Amino acid sequence: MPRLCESRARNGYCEEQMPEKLYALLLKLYPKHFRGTYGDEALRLVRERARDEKGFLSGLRLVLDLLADLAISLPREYSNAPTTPVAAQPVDGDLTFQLLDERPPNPALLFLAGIFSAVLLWACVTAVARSRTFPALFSDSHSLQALVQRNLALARLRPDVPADAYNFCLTAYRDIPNNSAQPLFTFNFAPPGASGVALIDGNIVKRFRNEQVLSISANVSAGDHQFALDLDSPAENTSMSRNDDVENCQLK
Amino acid sequence: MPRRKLDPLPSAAFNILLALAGEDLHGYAIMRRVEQQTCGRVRLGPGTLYGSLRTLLEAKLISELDAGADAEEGSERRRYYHLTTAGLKLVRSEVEGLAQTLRVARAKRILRGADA
Repeated sequence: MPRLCESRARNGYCEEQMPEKLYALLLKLYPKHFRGTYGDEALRLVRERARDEKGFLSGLRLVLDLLADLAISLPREYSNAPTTPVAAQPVDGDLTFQLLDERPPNPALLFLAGIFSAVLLWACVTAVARSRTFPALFSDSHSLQALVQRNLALARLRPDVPADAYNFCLTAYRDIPNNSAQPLFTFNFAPPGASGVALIDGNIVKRFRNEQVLSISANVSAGDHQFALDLDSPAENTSMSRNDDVENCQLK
Repeated sequence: MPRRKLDPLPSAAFNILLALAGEDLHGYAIMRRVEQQTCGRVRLGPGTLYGSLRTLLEAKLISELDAGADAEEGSERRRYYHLTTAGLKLVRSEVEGLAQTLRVARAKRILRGADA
């Protein structure tokens, strides 16, 4: 590995310069044989250019030159990397094989990997740009706002349900114990949080006060259950997640 | 046998050979000489420069001189590169080809200004 500041101390210009630091990182992308043979000299060349070309614009041009050079020379260095057999001793009657040092990667695989990476990057950027906030990645049917709206509508239709009770039907696909790794539900509320009680089939499973992250765990058998979240006062919900083995069902 | 193809001779390799005609130079000096002889149009980056130098070494168009210390005492040792006879013949052939192309261009009055 090239040493950055060994000779510079002797030459009296040991302050680390950005292009040189950048190139020291870029150099790690090159094959081992290139770094071993020319790494020190390449770093020295960049150091001397940075020393001779002072100023912001010159520095910027140097950095752009280095990036352009990397794009041009890196594929060529890998495609021309030497293949050195390191284990090619035949053994009596046994199959042998060679291990190749720094075998150049298959160009088709490199191309496919590039396409895959670009698509993945595009997908991530698109997802983040469209969602803005993580909770929006959940579908509307699972968001608390949707549940609240639906249950408020229900409350208007059912006089026995108080207007501030948010209840809905849940289907558990298997028995879920109280100490399950995933809680049944996790609600996030904006400050100052929410206060109230959580009920399953009419039984209080949790009382909470000014909770901003409300995790609800309970012993739930497989099948349909009625879940209710009774808030003392309106609270702004920001997101909600649920156990993977729980799904919404029709309200009873 | 060089691993990389030198036929046709890449621009970077040609400029390096031309820079080494008449004097032995180290990497940074080659880069500066190439910049000078191309009026600043070509600035070889370290990857291109040392990749090309290795290709030329493999093709025995240049040779590496025993690295001596720089003139300044205590400075880093540098590799100097020397144009071999084969390299000189190749660069001469390339330059003659370019000169012929230049004559054709002049005859067709393609060039303008002082080069015409």
